[in-house]
Parts: sequence; structure tokens; C-alpha cells
Amino acid sequence: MLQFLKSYLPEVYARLLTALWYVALTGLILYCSLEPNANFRYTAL
Amino acid sequence: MHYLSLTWLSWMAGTVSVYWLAPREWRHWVLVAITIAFMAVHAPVSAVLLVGFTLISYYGTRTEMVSGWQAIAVSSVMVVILVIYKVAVSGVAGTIIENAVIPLGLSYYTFRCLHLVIERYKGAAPRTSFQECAQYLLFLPTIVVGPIHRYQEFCRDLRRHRWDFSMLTEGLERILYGYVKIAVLGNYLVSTKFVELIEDVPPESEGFRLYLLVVKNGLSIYFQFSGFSDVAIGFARLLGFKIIENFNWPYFQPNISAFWQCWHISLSAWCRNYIYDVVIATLRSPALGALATLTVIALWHEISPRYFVWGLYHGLGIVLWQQFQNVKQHFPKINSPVLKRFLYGLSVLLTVHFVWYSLVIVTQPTFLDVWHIYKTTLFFYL
Repeated sequence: MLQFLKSYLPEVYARLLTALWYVALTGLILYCSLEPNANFRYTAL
Repeated sequence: MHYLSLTWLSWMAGTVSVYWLAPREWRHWVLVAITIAFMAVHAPVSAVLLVGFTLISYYGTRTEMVSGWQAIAVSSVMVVILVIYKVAVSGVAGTIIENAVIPLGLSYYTFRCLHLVIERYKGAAPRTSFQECAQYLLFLPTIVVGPIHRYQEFCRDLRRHRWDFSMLTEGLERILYGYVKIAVLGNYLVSTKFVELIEDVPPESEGFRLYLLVVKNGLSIYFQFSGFSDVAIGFARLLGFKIIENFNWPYFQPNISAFWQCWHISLSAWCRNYIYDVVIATLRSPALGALATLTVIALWHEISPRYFVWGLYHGLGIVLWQQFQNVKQHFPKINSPVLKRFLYGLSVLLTVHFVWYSLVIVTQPTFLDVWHIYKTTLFFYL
């Protein structure tokens, strides 16, 4: 992600956007995992 | 425990920390010890089998040259154990083992052991030290859900091994994308929200509802399995290893042969090397090669009639595609780029539906249920 953004933006903005992207994805994972109606069908290890 | 549980996340974080903090000369043994500890805690039977298979693979192939009989003897022991468990679990031949459960990761590590034995027999892998053999076979990231990574590539990384910050970020990013596939796309969007939409379909549109369920199953299986593979690949990257990719946009492939080069790549490449190539070399028949390969892939998942039919379905699909390639040469050449693009899109749609409908065979409890779905969605006029 960082390499991709670095080719379009100055490094500092690329790093900032990458960090925001990771935080957003982590938040999304947590939201979807904790959503009460989520239908969990994880493959048991 | 599942892949998003705190237990698994703790094992991953703990393994990476302890691994890189350990003195360099101990590092790889630390990873072997952690793998054995993980298996002993979560799957003791599998831990015993895995250590046993590792010892058999090493002591069975430690001579400079591995003879055919040696390779057959060593492989047979492991294949027989795998088959006994697969048969016991599927219940095809009655109960051999009471309350049988497939030992954690058995299918994956058996194929890794066989790979090592065959490569030693072919002379493609050099004589292995016990350390390298144990490190390859007792590698925590790929123990549970693969991929079936390759010995030569693993040893190459083992020798080049050093700390590199970029691989840490690559690994974490890959794990994050894996969890997005599992939790967001697979579980939340497909298995929860899409299912809610399917439930709202009126009862008079039964065919459409069942079709959507077929689509849902296809997407769900892909996101789950591909997500697990991403987590495993990312975890391996955190430890400094680059292992084989397992998926490469399989649902965007224009034919069933291309699909199998992009779906569960580590398993299909294993079967291509050790089944397809052998059948081609001995019988000179691509059709028999495809049928044998897909049957082995199917029975590797489960030894049961439904998986046998599933393997046959895909094998026949590839045979038909091979025959079509011969016939296609006589068709007039298409020069229009628009028509070419349209036909490409159509073949992608056909391929993905061929695959999704094959999953009906293995997800439905009986063949009658499979027939009901086929009849209602495809042959609704019957």
C-alpha cells in the first residue's frame, strides 16, 4: 500500500494515508466481528 | 479456537516476538519447539503424528541416494495413516476409530512429508539435515490450513534468513487483508448481510433463492479459505519466510484449467507435479491425467462418494475443455476486439458458475438435495 501511494504522493502523506488505511481496516474487522447479528462460521482450527 | 480468536492471535504475536528475540543459533529450534507446544496444547494426537511423520521422513530418506523402495515404504506409512483417518471421519466403511476427528493439519503435513520424500528420491532436493527437515515440517504458520509450501524454497529462505523491517510490514499488511476477507467480506457481507437478502426473496421465486444460495456458498468458501491462506502467508513473512501463494483471482479465470492454476495453488501444483506429470509420462493421456489428478484432489479433502463425484465433475470439466481446445482450432478467427472481450467475459461467467455449482455437491447432505438445487435452478422446466 505504502509503495503504491509513494508513487503518487509525497512520502509523508503516503505514510499518513497508509496508517489511516490500516486503522480503518482494523476498525472494520472489529466492527464486523462484534456486530451482534454477525453470522460466525469460522472454520474451526 | 478460530482464526480470529485471541488465543490464535496471541500464539502468532508470541511466536514472532520469541523467535526474533532468541539468539540467532537457537532461533529455528525455538520455532520448532513452539510448533510442537502449539500442537500439544490444541491437538495432542496431531502433535504425536506430526513428530512421528517428521522422524519417518528424515530417517527414511537420510541416505545419500533414496531408492524407489525406500521412498515407497516411507510414503506408504504416511498415506495409510492419512487414508485411515479420512475413511474413519467420513464413515464410508463403518467406524474404524471411535468418534474420529481428523487430526489438525494432517492432510497438509502428510503432503509436505510426501513432497520431501519424492524430491529426495528424484534427487531434486539435497540430502537434508535433521535441523532443516524439522524446521520445514514443524513450521507453525502453515501447519493448520496450509499452504503446502515447498522444501527447496523454504531452505533457500532458511539460508538467507535475516531481520528485515520491510518483511514485518508486508507480513502485517497481508494478515490484515486476510482478516478483512474472513471477517468483513466472508462472514459479515456474504454469510450475514447477503443471507438476510436471500431470506427476503419471496417463496414463489424458489429457483432464484436457491441460485443466490449457490452464489453465496461460492463466495463464502473463497473468502474464508483465501483469507486463512493470507494470514498463514503473512505470519510466515513475519518470521522471514516467503512461501507459495495459494490463490490468484480464481473466480476471474476464463476456463476450468486456468481456474485450477489459480485455486488452492499449492495443492493443485503438488498434484500436477506428482500425479498429472506421472500419468502423462506413463500413459500419454492428458484426459486420464486430469481425471486422476482431480480425483486425488477431491479425496484429499474427504474420502466420500460426494467428494469422488465432485472430483469426477471437475476432471470431466477439464477433459471437455481439452477436447474443446482441439475443436476450437477449426473455428473462424475472431478479429473484433469487442466480440473477443464479450466472449472472454462469457467464459469467465461460465467457469465461475461451473465451479459454484460443483460446490453444491459437497455442501448438500444428500445427492437428492443436490439434484433438487440443480433441477430448481438449472432445469426448472423438468
